[in-house]
Amino acid sequence: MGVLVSGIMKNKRDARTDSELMVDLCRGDENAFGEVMRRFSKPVYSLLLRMLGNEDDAEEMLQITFCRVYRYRSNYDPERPLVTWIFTIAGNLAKKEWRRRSRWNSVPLENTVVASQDVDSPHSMEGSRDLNLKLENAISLLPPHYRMPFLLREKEGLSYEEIAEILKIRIGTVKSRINRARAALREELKDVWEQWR
Amino acid sequence: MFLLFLVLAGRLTMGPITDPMPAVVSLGRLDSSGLVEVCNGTPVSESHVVTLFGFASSSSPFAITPEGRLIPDSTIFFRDLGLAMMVFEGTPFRRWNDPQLEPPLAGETIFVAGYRSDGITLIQAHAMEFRNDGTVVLSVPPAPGLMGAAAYNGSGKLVGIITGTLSDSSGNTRLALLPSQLWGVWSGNLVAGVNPSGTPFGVSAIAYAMGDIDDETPSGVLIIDVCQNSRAQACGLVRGDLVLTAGGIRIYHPETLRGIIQTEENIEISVYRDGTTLSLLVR
Amino acid sequence: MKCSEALELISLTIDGEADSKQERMLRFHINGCASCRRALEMSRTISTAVASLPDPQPSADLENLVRARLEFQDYDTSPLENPRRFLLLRRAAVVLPFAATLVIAARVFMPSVSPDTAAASEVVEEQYIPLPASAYTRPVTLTTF
Repeated sequence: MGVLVSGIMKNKRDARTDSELMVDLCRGDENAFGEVMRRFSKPVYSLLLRMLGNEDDAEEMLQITFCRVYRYRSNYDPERPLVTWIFTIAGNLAKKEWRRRSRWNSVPLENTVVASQDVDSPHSMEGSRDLNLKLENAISLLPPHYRMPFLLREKEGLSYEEIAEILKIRIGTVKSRINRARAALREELKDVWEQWR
Repeated sequence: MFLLFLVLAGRLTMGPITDPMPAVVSLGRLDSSGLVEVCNGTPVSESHVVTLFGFASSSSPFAITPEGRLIPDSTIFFRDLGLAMMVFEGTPFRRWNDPQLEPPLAGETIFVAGYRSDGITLIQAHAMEFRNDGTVVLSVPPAPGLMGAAAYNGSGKLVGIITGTLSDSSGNTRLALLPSQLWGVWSGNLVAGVNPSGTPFGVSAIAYAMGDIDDETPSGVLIIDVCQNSRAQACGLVRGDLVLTAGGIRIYHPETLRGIIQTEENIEISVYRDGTTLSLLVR
Repeated sequence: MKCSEALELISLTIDGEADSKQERMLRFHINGCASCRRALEMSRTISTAVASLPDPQPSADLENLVRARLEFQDYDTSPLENPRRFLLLRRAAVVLPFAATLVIAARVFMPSVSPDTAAASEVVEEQYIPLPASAYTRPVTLTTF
């Protein structure tokens, strides 16, 4: 079950399936490539942004992903879902990048706990109350190899098989990494969860 | 809390201190509910305090002293490094630190002092890891009251200020130290009232950290543009040069280079170009 | 069933990948285990919340940027791998000096340079300097003095 963002055509709705688009692209239809980008740019960007942690790198990798989609268009097997193929390309780029990086990510201290005091009585002030922000933060704390399968599952709705194919790991590994990601998030968010219920 | 102020004030040593307790100032700002958020500041003179950009750039921060709340006269920002310098009228600070321009040594013991709601917190750590951009990872996790805290080495010299935390993929979080090596020239010039005018050097430059592009080019200041007929051109600098040291000081940020170039003459700079290091003289 | 096994089943159940036997066993365990019940509720809530997290928009001229890269046959290389022969076409937080802006404009609109001509590619490479990829969180600004 692949969930895709709908592409909005300015002129007319493009009703071709993903595979048809790629087949047409291989035949020389440049508009098909534009439609592929329209359909997939948002989900791919959203994954890259959460994997790489900043907009500039995510934009960079997004462009390269589509360059590779174009260049290797004849390698794509129309029998298989396009979403898996595109996410494999993007995932490989993200994997290479997070390996290349320094293992330390910095967080400005003022964004974490702020100690405050009233002159009369000590009082501790919470950090941001924005729950979405806390969730994004919790996700960003997940190690990359847990984060990616988790996001592919929860945000893109891809199946275990599709995720296993994208990440080139066994299905059992997909299950256990998603499980660990969930456990880590429960731990990280246990204080905030009360407000959600 | 007030007793602590008295104890510190009672020392009454004028000038830079040499005992293991770093000089630190408590800063505050009012949040929307009227509570006081505190942060630390490192006094670098009787009237100058270095603190965090994020804290000082908000509404009206003030210093908390035994005499009451002091509003600064002016604030100068150094956004790239996340710092701010608050300047106060008169000479309200009895103890201050002299930022040193040498980085801490690997494994060196570092003392960190900051204000918490119930007093001063003093932490002992050591310099654990040195990052490409000059920041240092300390060996301890973050604790309340360490925002903007002053960091000393065992000889009583100020080696830097705590600007954040760094965490790795296994979830270990540690304090991040911004060494005064990176900002000591900037703060020293401000304290001395050096006016950075006069003949422009003639460059546009950017901070570069090893690993941004490749793992071979060392960290330094990347020269993006050199003006015609400028001092920079005259000394032999060209676009693409990477300045590593100036006047013997290792450079990680253009602001440091600017501070040295504009206050001294006949400075020797070392430059990385096409895989080799050259020495140039700036007149 | 131990709680560690139950937690695995919880994960499967949320993903709709547990069979009816597993679901029965999980239900049985949960009836008697408050902490696993809580874990199930939490994970369900988190799951819904993550699915509805807002998705940020990439830059609007993505298509043009991609086509520009393809045209100059630089698509193969990530600038983070080999930027010396690559001009970064990105939403720059860095303020580019006028000269560099001219260079970028010239590069994009120049008639295609044949990569086979060694002399031509030498000239092109001299005209720009690799800009650093975004530093970790600090803004990187251009200082002129």
